[in-house]
Amino acid sequence: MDQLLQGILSLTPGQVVMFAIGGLLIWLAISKEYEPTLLLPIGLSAILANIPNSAAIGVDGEPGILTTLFDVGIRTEVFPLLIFVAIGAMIDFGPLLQNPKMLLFGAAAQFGIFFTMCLAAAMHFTLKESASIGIIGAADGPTSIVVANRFAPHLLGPITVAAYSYMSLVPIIQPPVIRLLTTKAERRIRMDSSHFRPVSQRTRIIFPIAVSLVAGLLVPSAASLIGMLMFGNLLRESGVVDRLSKGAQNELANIVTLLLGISIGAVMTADEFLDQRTLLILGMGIIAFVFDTAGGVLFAKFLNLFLKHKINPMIGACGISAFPMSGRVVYKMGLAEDPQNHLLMQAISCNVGGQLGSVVAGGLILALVG
Amino acid sequence: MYETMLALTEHSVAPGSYVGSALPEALRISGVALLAIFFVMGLFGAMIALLSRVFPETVDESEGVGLEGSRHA
Repeated sequence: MDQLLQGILSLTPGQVVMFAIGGLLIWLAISKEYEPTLLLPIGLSAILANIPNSAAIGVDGEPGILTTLFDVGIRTEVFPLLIFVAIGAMIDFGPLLQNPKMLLFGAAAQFGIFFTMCLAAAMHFTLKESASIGIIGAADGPTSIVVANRFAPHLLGPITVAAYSYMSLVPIIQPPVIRLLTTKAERRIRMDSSHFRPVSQRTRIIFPIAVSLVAGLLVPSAASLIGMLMFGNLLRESGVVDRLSKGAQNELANIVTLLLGISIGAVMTADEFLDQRTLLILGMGIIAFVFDTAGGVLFAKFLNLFLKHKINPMIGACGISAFPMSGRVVYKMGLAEDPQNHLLMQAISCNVGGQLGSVVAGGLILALVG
Repeated sequence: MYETMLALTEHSVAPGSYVGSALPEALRISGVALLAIFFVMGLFGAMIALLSRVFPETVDESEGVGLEGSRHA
């Protein structure tokens, strides 16, 4: 009888709070559909990890399923990198290849990463912890996981939860920031789509190879991040391995997402998660998204000072990696301001540029901070 | 003793290794990284422009018979 009650009797208040947090994540996934593919497994694994003497974490020094998956898939960075293969196979870089200027917004909208990194440093986090917190602003789960795992594995739980939660909250976070920084007249600017020219199949095929090579030579520490993304894209664009491309987009994406989500729970134990710093990280995560959006919008306004054909500054907000949410948000905002203002192509090309920008930012942080 | 103290001193002045030391380094890295991102993305943009000029879309390709056997997945 004592053995049966042992679990209940050794339950700590912290573990009960973690059950509630796990329940909240599951509720957000099911009721609000906030990144359900990640938050649902993370929620349940957070509960499993906090059961006293949980076999999921380990018994008698032997690792359990969660810790094993974490060691195999996250500590080695295999899961996030495989997710990049899947994402690469899903992305159509076509709109970006048709309008490469949009890549600049993919750079400007990474501003939140560095603002937040400095903010975290000012709040007495170490440089490596600050970089890991700042990377939440990449709006890119796998990049956040790779950087946090490398620099601050003890903060991986809150950083992952923040990254994925805020990504799903892009439709709520971005519009007020965009409205605050733009006038109605600016939001109604129409953009010419005539410069979107079709790109050749050769260009589509050479692009991922060239990006892997150039990015790898310039930022070797980003070689695995960008290389896996571009490998997935090459599968898609080559046109000769359709089965592999579809496998990466579907089976690989689903299986690795499932394993990635459930593994994160291994670091969501009450001891590690329930900390004042977790609240700070969650707060700074939202600041990162806000300043990403502001960086993109203000950069577009800056360019407009010199351009004859003005850019709708809302487009700048799509430079974050949250794809396609961000592009969709701006497209809808454009239509709401002017039903004839179709910004979809520009918004999506900028959003694709943001995906590339976030990976480059992650690689640069790995190189400069590491 | 001296070696231990030296090691401790070296540890304490290493960037980001003690509380409160990280801000100047974070500011410096942020500045460099932002410039580098614009440079890399600009380079990618120039690369795309070059590729589009070297390999322009042809009528045959737009009809789906550009590269032998290739189709967009």
